[in-house]
Amino acid sequence: MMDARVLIRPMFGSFPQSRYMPCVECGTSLDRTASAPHVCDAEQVLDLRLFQLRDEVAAFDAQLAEWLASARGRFAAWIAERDRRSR
Amino acid sequence: MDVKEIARRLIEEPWRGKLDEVLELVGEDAVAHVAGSPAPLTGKDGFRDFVTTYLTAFPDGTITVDDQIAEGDIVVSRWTGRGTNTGELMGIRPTGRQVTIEGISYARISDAKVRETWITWDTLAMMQQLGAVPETIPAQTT
Repeated sequence: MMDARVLIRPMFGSFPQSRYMPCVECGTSLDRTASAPHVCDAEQVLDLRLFQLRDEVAAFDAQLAEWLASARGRFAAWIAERDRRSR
Repeated sequence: MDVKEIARRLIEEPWRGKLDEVLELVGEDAVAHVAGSPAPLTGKDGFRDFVTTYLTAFPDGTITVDDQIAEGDIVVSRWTGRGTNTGELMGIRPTGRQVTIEGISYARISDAKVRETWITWDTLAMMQQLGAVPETIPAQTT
């Protein structure tokens, strides 16, 4: 199968590159011509990661409820409750 | 209010929560020629729809006018827009990325309202920053 990059190259290869590009780690818009090195803000890295995982985060409660209703989930909950009581 | 100030408000203030106030500066018969749009946008509704598309895609966006030149009823403004893409744009799922875009607006203003405007900005750069088109790959030479 042909590599998609081979097809894309003639289409975009001669276009100019944007002066600004977002940091892949934190999403901050970076000026390629800036001389100062960029340092990611940890909170912004987390915000971007959470945003990228928003569908998974939103689906978590429903998936957990579904798992807890399954035989394996009900058994795990029973074990957890037994362990809690034995402490 | 001089024509530069009207042009500046039209560009900057929708991004400061003042879209309704700015619509007062748009003529009922105004025509906006936006690069890449298949047809001109018309009137206040056209202006509102156009701005709302980008306000939805970049809710924290701002636009700053960097420079202006005016001659008679014509104003040319060079501007920079910045914002985080947390809403859908032209079918592109929100990316969470910040973009910076540079553009130019050319407006004809009379009786304190914009009558016709031509707006162009670096759409390719926006698409590159959103990851919708690949970053430039050096042209293959054989």
